[in-house]
Amino acid sequence: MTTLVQIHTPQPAAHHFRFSSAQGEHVFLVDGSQIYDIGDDFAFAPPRPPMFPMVVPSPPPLHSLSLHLGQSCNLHCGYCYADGGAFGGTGGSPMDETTARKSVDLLLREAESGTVPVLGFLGGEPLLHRGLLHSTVHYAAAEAARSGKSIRFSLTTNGTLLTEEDALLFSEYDWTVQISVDGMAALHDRQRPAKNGGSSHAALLGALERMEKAGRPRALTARSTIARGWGRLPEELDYLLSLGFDDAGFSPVLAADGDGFALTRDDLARFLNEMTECGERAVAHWREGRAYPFANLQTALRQLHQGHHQPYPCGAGAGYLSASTSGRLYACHRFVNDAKRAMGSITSGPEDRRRRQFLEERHVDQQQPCGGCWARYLCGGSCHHEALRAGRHACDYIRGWLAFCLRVYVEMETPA
Amino acid sequence: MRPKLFPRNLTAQAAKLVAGNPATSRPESGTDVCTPGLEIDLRALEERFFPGLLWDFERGDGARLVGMDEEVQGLQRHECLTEDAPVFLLGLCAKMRAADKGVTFFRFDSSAGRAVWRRVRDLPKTRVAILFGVRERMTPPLGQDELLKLLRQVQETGSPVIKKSGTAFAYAAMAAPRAAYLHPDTGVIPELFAPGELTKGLCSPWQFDFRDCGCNYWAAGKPDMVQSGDPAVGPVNYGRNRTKHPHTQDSPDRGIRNDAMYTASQMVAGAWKALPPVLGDRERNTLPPPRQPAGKNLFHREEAATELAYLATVEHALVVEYLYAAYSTHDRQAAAVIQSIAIDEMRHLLWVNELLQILGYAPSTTRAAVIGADPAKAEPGCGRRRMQEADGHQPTYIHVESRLRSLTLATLDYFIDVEKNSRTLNGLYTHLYLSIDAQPEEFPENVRLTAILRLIIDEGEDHYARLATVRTHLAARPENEWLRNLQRAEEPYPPAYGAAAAWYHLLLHIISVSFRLDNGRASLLQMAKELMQDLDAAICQLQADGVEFDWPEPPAADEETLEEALPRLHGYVSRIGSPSQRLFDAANAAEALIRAGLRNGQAPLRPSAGPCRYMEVRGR
Repeated sequence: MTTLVQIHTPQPAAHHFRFSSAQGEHVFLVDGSQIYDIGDDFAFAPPRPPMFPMVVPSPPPLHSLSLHLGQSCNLHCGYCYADGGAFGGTGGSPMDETTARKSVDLLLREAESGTVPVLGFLGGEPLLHRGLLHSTVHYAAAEAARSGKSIRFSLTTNGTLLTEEDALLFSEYDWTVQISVDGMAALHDRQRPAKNGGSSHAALLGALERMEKAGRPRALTARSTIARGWGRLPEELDYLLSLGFDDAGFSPVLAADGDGFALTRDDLARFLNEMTECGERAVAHWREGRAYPFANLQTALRQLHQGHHQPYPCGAGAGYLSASTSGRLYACHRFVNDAKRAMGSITSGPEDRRRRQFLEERHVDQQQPCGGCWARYLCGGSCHHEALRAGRHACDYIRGWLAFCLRVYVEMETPA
Repeated sequence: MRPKLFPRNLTAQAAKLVAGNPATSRPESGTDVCTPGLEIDLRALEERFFPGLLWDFERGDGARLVGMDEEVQGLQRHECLTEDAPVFLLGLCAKMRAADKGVTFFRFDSSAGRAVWRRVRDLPKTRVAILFGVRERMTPPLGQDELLKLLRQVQETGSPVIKKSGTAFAYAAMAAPRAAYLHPDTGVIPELFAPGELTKGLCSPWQFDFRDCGCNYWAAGKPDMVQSGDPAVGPVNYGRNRTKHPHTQDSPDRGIRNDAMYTASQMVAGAWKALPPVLGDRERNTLPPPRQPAGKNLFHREEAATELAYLATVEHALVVEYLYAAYSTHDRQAAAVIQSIAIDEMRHLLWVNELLQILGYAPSTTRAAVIGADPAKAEPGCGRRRMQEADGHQPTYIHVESRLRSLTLATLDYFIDVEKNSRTLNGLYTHLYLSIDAQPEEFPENVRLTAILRLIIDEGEDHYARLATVRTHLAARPENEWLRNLQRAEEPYPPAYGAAAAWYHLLLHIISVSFRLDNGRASLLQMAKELMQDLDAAICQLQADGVEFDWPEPPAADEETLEEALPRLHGYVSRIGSPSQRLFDAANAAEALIRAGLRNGQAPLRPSAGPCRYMEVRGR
């Protein structure tokens, strides 16, 4: 048997990225994501130690917890990371009332005072467990009020099962409802087939109507998963926004169980072109003072303005954990039932030793080939789950997109 | 021209150091100074009063020239500014008021720098002539007449005079318009002042130089001592060590206060950071998030009326809770403070009813069963909506049963809790304010409505502090020393009890009727105010017999017609056992106004959703 040893050649660390815009020459400093206008004689030597050191943090207090009420789904999307709702075939029974309540207690107990914790519902399709979802939300709101706290809720749903009763619940409390819409009807129904045959797209349009009637949730957003063979993004985005979402954005499939879903390098080049086309469309709207909530660009611009820099792509294993149906805690919803990423349980609480280990191991400075990339503290090394499963083959896309966003940022900040 | 390295985003701006600006000028290292005038040292403004010259006034020997442009009106810097021969400002001539016909002269031979500064400070924005030079080289010194003549000549002609002693500079006289400190269009301080120049004289707590300077340029947002709102207490010591004395609000006892203070070395070591900002005469450890106009959760007209009808009942309930507590103690000081808060709440009760009347709704004078009631717990049909704030926070409603409590420390804590809880009362008032302000088409009377709402919101602010003072005042003694020992009133009720109840119900009836009338409200309310004394006398009479007054709930009569109001009025008057002249006068006046209202055929007011019933009331 031959053992393959992969040797990483250390790359020169990237400290800055120069770029041009209609405003002139600029530099993005990796240290603290600082953006400057520069002259021709610009030269850069990174300060030692860096101004914004990227240490491995201690596990922070729990801020958001997502619950897997059940692991089943009424759709069968080929690209689903949860294996079309079966979660690797483990299936299992849905979460029970006691587990849900204990999860809420854990979140309220662990959340730092003065912050507003977030209770999320993911799946599977959470609305298959309507009764439990409703009772858990009422319980959480009452418990939060009793302890003098506020709480927010979030839901990721395919929208096909949403009833008037659900819509009323979403308008009553502080909700972010995120609906998965892959585009116009034909594409959506092809990518997101219902197990019972009907049109999942028509069902979600009904859900939007019901929410409009009952009073919208605080935030109603659309997320579109882009798999191979997608339609054109600019037209898809126009369509999503025409449905009245507060914002809409795209996520490319980078790793999938089913064949022919994950984007190849060539697909990613086309994807980048269409994303920037969407971005230009947004900028044109904004210059005329009209709204065009393209979520990917809005988020990037906000983060660039704030100088967002962090060594992780998300809060997984840190302020964010996910509870499985049996009440075990995992680094995030994508790692549910992955024993290697288990992090305690709702009864024993988050296991800090394992969280710390995860944060050490997943720090972007530990990842390859991230050290040589100027975008590493913006991207954080990309989704842990996807990187572990399929490596990092979307880096050129990520850098291309961020370079576009940087240009838009400096040009928008000082209108031409 | 844009510099070669220009920071664009927030981290870049935070990282870029600008030459001359002290670290204290960066927002993250500031001390939350929010008093205009304390961000800069005003003395620094005068240092550049004459174009091209820089003066130092902070010296005992006069105002000394410490900097100048390369050349000012023909005078070269290298000739004038030398190490060995100090140049001082020696005389000044200007109109001291822009309207003056003639000019005023000042001579500064031996004046201290501060004295010169005062004259310069008083200069209006006119042309000013100055004389400055090296004292020792003015031989013989200029006489009074010579000085006046020279300055007047320079003032009139504008041509400078420069004199030398041998080859060295001796003195100069020149005139120019006094420098403007603010840009005439934008009001911005001009680039004339170098970075750091205007803040260099300020004290910084972390340097601890405020101990020595005594100039009072202390960061006002985090004071160590402030004047208390309670005149009995004197300056409040905000410099106290909270870990050592967590409960000491303040004490007039100097010993206790000194003991509670941080020592100087603790302050230098960083204890100053624990001092909370003080706004509006009280400490605030947290500030409410800035409110933004809500976009989609605004109350419409009917909802606003429903909320107001509820809020009026809450104000009424609070009036009664406070009054019951005030009558339960012999401690006069405590009773007076609690009573004064009750009077504020009465005023709020009237204001809220005025808002209802402006909106065209019937008054609301019954009593709330629940304080801070959560609309989600209201029985169906109530019409109240659970509000969501613009910043996304879901408000927490305390939802506590309203009941009568003697003035114990626990009761005070409850009152403090109620007053502190901005989500329930102020939060609702603020939301009403935003709703009305943002929707003029829904609320055409918005100018009047918002003016009244602003008054209510502002007045609620200091109750918390006043209650806290009472708590400190009472906490030193056991409860039985300040609580009265009274029996519950039981059937058959003593006559004084019936009289007090009739007074209470009559007062409310007059208030309710006054808001159903188009005319005469002010005079009726004034009468009601005077009749309060009779109610007070009736309660005191009852207490003298050892019986408490438990404020029996009045019947709901806000939606009665004016015809029905008359017999009710007569009924209350007849129940009061010993009617006074004042009562007869008031009753007659009220009757006359009601009859006038009936004759004029007043349009009936719309009933609001009325008092709601609530489920799951939490007692305290």
